[in-house]
Amino acid sequence: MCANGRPPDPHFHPEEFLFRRIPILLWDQPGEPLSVDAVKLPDISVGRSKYGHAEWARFDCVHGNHYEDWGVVAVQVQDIPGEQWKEGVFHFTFQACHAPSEKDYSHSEIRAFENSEHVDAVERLPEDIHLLWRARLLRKMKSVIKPYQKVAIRENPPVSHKLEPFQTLP
Amino acid sequence: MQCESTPQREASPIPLHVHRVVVMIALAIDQARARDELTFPLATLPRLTADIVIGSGESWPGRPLVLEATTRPDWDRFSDKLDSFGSLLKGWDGDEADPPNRETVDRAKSFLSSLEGASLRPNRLAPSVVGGVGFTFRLGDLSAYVEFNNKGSVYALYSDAVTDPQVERIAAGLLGFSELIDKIKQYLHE
Repeated sequence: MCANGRPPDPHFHPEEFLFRRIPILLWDQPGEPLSVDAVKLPDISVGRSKYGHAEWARFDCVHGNHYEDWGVVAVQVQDIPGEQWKEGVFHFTFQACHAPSEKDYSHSEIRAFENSEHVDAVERLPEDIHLLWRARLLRKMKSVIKPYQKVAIRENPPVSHKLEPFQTLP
Repeated sequence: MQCESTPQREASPIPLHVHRVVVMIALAIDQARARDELTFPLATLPRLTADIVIGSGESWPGRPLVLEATTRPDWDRFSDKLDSFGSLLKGWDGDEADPPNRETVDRAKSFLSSLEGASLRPNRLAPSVVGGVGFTFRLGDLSAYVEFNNKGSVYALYSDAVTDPQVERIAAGLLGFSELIDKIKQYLHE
């Protein structure tokens, strides 16, 4: 999980998954669909499947928390809505960027750009673009670990970028 | 839940064991609702208020119970839930989300009043990870989402499973809310 001096890996396989944990406050019924209120922008923190397992997304390495009951959703890199235009003039693009921290090498962000310039503050995105893009991303999100689902925590890192099956505990 | 003695009340003609089952169901539903654990279709039930009246001078099993189950809309529960968002701390989503601010909660409450007046119940009411409050209305694959953000704006988003979602800005205020509610009803039932 730790970076151990590894540099960022900017190359994402299109089929690579990006994991994000969802608070129980927003997703407590496994059968209930998520709503747009659970989708953030800009700079959505995610974990990439090439370097971390889905259940690792339940760890907050920065603050030392483990949200063992929270669900985890995922979106594939190829499914990230890539661009949006505003009035035919303002061009916004969105892409995954590897942003590892020392304690979490898999940490990445889905970032927004306006004319190739990183938009890191919500105030800089038009509100309608902001909401519309979140709705588009929500459609592509898949449930991976359901809320309250107990899964075994793997210690060894993934061997590929693919979604590797986890073991459910009773 | 109230327990009180009413010696004047007649014993119910319903058998005791039936009473007990009804009481247990009512208790379970109310308690599950208090913990926000009800799922569809139970979540759509109005709150049950069970007044259990036990005959005076006799013990619980010795006398039939009279169960009065009355219904009450659960708009109060929505209002309480909105108030509870005010106690959230920054980072409540395990990331950096701001809690809804007081003004946002107040505007959401105003919208809630309009919804109650129009008898349009949201399927979901939750804080938004972008800082605000979101109301979600669903019918099958159709959904309408209304977001009050901490910057003071209100947006509605209409989405089905096929076409691109549609977004529109809403004028905050009774007239804007009234028009929005009409549009949501029309969208979900057209």
